[in-house]
Amino acid sequence: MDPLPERDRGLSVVSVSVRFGGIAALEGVDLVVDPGEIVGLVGPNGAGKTTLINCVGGQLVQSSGSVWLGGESLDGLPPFRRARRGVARTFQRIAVFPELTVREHLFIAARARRRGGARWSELVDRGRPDPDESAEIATTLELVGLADRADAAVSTLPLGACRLVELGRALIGRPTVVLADEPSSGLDARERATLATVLRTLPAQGIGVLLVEHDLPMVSLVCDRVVVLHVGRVIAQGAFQAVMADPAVRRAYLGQVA
Amino acid sequence: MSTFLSYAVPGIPFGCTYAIVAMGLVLTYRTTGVFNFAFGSQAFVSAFTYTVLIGEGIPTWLAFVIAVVVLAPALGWVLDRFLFRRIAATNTTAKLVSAVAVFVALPQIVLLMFGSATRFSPPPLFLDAGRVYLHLFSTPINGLELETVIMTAALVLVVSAVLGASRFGLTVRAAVESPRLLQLEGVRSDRVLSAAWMGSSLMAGLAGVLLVPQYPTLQFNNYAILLVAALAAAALGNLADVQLALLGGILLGVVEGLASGYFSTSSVWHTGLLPAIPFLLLAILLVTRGRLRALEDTEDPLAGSDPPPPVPIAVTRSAELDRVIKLGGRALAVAAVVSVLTWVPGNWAFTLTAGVVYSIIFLSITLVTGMSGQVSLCQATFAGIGAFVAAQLAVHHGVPILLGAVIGALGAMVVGALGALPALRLRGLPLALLTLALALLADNAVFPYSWAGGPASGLNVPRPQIGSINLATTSSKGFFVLALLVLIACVIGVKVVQRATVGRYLDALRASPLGAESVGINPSAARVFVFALSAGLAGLGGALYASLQQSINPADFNYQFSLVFVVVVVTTGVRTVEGAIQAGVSFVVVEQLLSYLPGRWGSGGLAIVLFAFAALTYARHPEGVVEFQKRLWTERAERWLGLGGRSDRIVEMATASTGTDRDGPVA
Amino acid sequence: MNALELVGVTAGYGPYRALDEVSLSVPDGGIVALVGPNGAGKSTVARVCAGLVVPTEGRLLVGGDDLTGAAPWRIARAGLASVIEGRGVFARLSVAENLELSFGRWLGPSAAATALERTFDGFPMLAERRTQPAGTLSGGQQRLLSLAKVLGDSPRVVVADELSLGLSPAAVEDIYLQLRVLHAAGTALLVIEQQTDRVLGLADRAVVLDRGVVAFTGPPDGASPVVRRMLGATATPDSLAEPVSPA
Ligand SMILES: Nc1ncnc2c1ncn2[C@@H]1O[C@H](COP(=O)(O)OP(=O)(O)O)[C@@H](O)[C@H]1O
Ligand SMILES: Nc1ncnc2c1ncn2[C@@H]1O[C@H](COP(=O)(O)OP(=O)(O)O)[C@@H](O)[C@H]1O
Ligand SMILES: [Mg+2]
Ligand SMILES: [Mg+2]
Repeated sequence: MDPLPERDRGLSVVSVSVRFGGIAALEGVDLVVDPGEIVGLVGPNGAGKTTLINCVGGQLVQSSGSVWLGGESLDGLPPFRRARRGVARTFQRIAVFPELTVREHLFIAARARRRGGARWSELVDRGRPDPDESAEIATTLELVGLADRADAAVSTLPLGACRLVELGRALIGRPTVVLADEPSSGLDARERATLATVLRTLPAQGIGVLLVEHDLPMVSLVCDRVVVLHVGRVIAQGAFQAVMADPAVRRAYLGQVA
Repeated sequence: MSTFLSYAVPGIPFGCTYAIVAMGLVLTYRTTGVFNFAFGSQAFVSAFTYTVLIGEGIPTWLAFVIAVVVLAPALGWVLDRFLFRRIAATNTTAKLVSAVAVFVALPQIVLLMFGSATRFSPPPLFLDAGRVYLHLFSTPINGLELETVIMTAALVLVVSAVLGASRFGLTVRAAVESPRLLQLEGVRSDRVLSAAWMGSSLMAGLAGVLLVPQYPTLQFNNYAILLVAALAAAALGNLADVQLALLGGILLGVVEGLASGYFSTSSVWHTGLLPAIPFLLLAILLVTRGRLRALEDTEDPLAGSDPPPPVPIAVTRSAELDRVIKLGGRALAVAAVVSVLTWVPGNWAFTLTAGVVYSIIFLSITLVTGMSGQVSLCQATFAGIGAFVAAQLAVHHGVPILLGAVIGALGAMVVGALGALPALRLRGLPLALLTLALALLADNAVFPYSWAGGPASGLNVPRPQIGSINLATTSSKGFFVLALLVLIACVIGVKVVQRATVGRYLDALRASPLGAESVGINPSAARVFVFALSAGLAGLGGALYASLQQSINPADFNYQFSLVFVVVVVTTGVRTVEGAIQAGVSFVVVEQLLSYLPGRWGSGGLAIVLFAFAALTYARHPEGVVEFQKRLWTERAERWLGLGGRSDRIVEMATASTGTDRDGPVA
Repeated sequence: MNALELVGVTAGYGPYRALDEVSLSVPDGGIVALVGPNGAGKSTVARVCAGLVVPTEGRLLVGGDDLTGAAPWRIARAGLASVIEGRGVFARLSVAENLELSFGRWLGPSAAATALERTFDGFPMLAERRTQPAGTLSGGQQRLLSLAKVLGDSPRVVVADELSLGLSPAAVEDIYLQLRVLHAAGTALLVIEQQTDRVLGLADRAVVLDRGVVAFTGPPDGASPVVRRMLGATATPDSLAEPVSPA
């Protein structure tokens, strides 16, 4: 199958299916996230949203279909290689490193995600960011609003801050696409506001975002486009208002019989 | 065909002995969540008691009741109450290390209490051992064999019934996963686990007594070998399936029967392959079986209710105290070195030199377990590789021992890197088992050869000659200086790695492999690097050990040393370089001090028991005994001196808006 | 009588203090909403109620009995059911086994079977996955399962932490419906929520927690302005606080 034109740019998922035993979690899902675009991915619990993100991030291997980034296929690559190619993600259940500080999280990510991979000097260097990395870390800390807590161990931060740490860890090193899996769950109104602000700065940097969210105000506020997933299939996509007006979506997702 | 059967059939009763232990392992793992190495030792304790009681002329049934029905469950209760209950359900390393500690310590306790005189095994419980009861495919089956098969069948029924009792089985499985979450359902999960431990221990006792007549005399080593061989059978059942474990045990027996029948006794197969079959099988199963790989512990859903682990006291103690302690520590180190070089008598100088050499080997555990968070049970094997390479090169090729030591370290490094490759996808328990399989493979199929481990009578290893100074003749104090310099170099090396970027990567991988990989860290590269480096360190230490001892033989580096090493280092403190050194020095010093005790108390077993008892505190303080004691004393000192210690402050609400919620919301 | 009562509870985690003299009570058959910003100590309250965190000062009463410092199983047997924050399921047990474990405790075999069927009727999504290990469910499904576990039998009081966390709008709708049913059957509720509007609509009393102390106790209408004052000032991006009414 030859690549579609869109594949030359951002992320494209081409008829991806995932089966667990006999159950199909995803069936022929197609999805495109252009650079600088924020795409909302919504759907009922168990629709396959996390599964899709895992297929893009490499945590899961799809049963069929393919995933492309910037015109190159990601299939068969382990997660860390995908990360170095520009795929960044957060986790629905946070996966931070409790004993490390916020700054160390960002440093590790900045270093490890560097294109071109690891260097021998990493075995004997001082484990400190170089000037470029320092600048980037400072900017990112500022962006996610953690500058004042940069040197706190993450195990002492509340959940909301941990989610922002994960977001910062994903954003550092200029990824091509960011996959955010329910980043606002467990955040209070104030933290949601920070999150929305951060997300809205990304398009200007040419970063594409795939945002999984149940917080509809947030989705309507930040997303350019919304895709609705239901039992593993895309049932609607388009502008937020239009999609939410779709009777099928109302039935499956909003729980209102239209 | 008839030859085939005549080889295969005797393998069945033999395989049943594996099966009994394998089923016990699986049962314990499923009902307690602990992969219980101690099963072999628990079996031995009951077997020993039984044998002693029979020897005292007590009737068989009474001896059986005391050893199996009373003693075994009591032992299980004690183990649960004072050790395993205190370990968080999710702490794989702590569970593994504690089980290993009990495994090595229990038999030592028994031997200390009763002495190690030869004890002849009593006859089977109800059949006549020598009498042939029936012929199977014209192979005679004697009473001992028949009884083993019958008892195995009986055990299968009992175990299946226990696990099949659905309500209890369900509760037990839930308790294994998260005792606290089960409590929220109104269940006394501590009682459930206590019962599970008593049941499993009963099974161990039963197995122990049943196995007694298999061997002419009662020896712990037989039980240890049975245990490690049974691992393969348990692995065939994915450590979860009792029936498959049974089948695995019998198959293993049959395969061994066939192999020993078909390979002529003089062939390399017979000497090399035969004893290694179970471990080869175990290794292959671990690497190829997806379900074994997935045996990782689940996260505790209630982790958010626990306070975060304490910060190392060295970070939080008051500045004054910090200065005093650092200064004092250095002064003490200098004083120790000066003392060894001046007034300390020869045997103590030797002991301390050995302590320095052990510290080098133990640093390798700091790397693997402390930094990358994995338990390796083959560090003594790596030490052995270094030692044997250096020794063989010196003896047969005249290579200077120090050069040989470097080559040996490099050799161990290569083996470590190669060994890490199949282990890349494993972590936690399966990885530890794989390293154990490698250690046993080396013990059984490599080290016994004289080209490798040297003759059983030992290899004579020279001391180094530096310029005109021969360290053998100028007393062992020269060697002390040499070992110390090597240790310092190794410490610097480890600290460099700890500080470097790769150290941060390892921190990240230890905390969350998922998160680490998602930011671009290559977990395989990090794993291979750590294993290779750590094998190299162990190899270097091993070579120095050989040169210090001046004579080594194949059994000097067997798997039991690996187990002891891990217990000693982890309980002392595995996260810091200081911990490794303190472990190395205290390991030999305790042993040397105890050697002044009379009789069997001075024989070295007591030292192992003491370190295992340290594991009791370890269960509650995973940061290690040394760190725990440091905190305790620092806090006391701060209180006495009124230093307003930073260590015992209450963090007030304003700062506590920084708390933790490691669990986070749902996955 | 109060189904659940905290009297002057101070609690924390090791050196970190999280609650300072918190008092609140849930009358029998009542619904109390507990709200407040992140880090206020809401989950700590839930953990104190469940017996997972032992207060350093103050008392915990369930159905009038003093259970301060009692083990979680004792509190559970006194009739308090907790839905903990996040995933509260046994990952290696199947969906059906998770439910059986909860129901079988309190109900006889036949009653447990009916409860199971009733639950599966109420949560068709779980019915489809009854043999799937709970750990492989999606995050929201695990959440639903942990709610289903307490909804099946009618405890005296339910403490639910972050009730609607990670649930789709339809599922939230559904859960609130089921809570009403449970409440109608006589169960008292302490509901902790991040999304305040909905729970304040359900509750007959509200408690607002801020940095470990009770900032407000009273009727739900009174709580909204307090919460808004607490969070409002910085919740800039325009319409975030307003619910979207699609088309
Ligand atoms: N290992 C597995 N075995 C069986 N089913 C699974 C497995 N993992 C996920 N599923 C199912 O796949 C579906 C999609 O899950 P997921 O992508 O996590 O949903 P969500 O859209 O809520 O993120 C769910 O119905 C879940 O039960
Ligand atoms: N396990 C823990 N260890 C240390 N501090 C914690 C822990 N859990 C919560 N905290 C802290 O206690 C305070 C209250 O937390 P929590 O009860 O989780 O608040 P809420 O549920 O309202 O967001 C916060 O400051 C939080 O950081
Ligand atoms: Mg999801
Ligand atoms: Mg909370």
